Amino acid sequence: MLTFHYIPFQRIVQMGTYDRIDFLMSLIRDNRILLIEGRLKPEEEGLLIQESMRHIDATGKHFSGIEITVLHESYRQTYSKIQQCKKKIAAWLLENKKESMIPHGITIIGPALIIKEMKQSPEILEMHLQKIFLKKTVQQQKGKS
Amino acid sequence: MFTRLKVLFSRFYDTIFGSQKIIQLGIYGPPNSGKTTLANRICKDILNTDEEMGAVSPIAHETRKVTVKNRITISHAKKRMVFDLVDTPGIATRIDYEKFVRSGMNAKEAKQRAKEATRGVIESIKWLDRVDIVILVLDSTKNPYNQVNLTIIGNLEARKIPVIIVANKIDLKSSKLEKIATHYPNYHVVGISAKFARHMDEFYEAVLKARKQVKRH
Repeated sequence: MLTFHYIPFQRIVQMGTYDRIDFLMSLIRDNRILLIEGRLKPEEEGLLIQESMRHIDATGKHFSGIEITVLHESYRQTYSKIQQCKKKIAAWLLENKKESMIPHGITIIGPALIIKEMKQSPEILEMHLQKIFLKKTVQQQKGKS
Repeated sequence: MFTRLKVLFSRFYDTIFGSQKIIQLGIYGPPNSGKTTLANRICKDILNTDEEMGAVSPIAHETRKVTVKNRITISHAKKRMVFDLVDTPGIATRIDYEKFVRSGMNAKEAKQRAKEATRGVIESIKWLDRVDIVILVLDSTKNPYNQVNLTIIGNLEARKIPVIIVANKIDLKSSKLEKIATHYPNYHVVGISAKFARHMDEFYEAVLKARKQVKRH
């Protein structure tokens, strides 16, 4: 069985960076696939990768890392100079309200023991699951029936 | 620790005595994209030496420690730049022990490699605070639409570090240079083959150009 865990932006916005990373890691270690409203900051993504590396055991039987992807509209957008200028002014004006602003997109993070690969192209997301995980799930289902 | 002190000291010396600023040129990218091959190529081209910066291998995570080659001078069309070349381990979000075993390693070797690879990823990310220009090396035969690449770029943007995207392995038939250029329209993408030294002039030109955008942080 796959467990998806939805995390609204408001749930994590008040947390400090390290608390946020710890919170997310604890859920990932619990074999959940996280659907986070909005996006993490690039620095936080870097920290999350670093933290996930610290959790990996040598054979990767208990934890072998994470898979992460972000779906958002401006992924490949090219901005003209004027558009860039507008964005900068808007960002400057809204500086104080940044905390309450939800960054565009959805972040999907899951344990690499479950997710083999996430392919994004760019509006469609394909999630390929690990064979071992699928086998286990089938066995569990058979056991129940 | 020693490397860090060395870098700090050289920066201090340069500031006091006004000698030329030494740029920290970092080579980043996912595993097996050809980072060390490029580092070796730069050494060969500029230093005229066969001494390699690191070993290359088809097995991922061959480079598991950051290596630095100090004081390399590049000159091209009246432009000159002195830099320390920083070759970093590939950044990944997962380490695949089974893959190491499948590639012929015994359990002990695979475990050791996995352990060192995790440390390498952490070290690479930490080094983002110390580099001035980044060469992001991507394998042009692979899908560039990858969150790791975006995370690296996002971190560099946040730190205002200039980035040159290098689409490596253009000598291979399955190489899709245009795909990388399309996916990263806001960046200078240079297609090269580090292994066969193709388009290296264009690459050095891009590095010298990026020098102008460097801000001391």
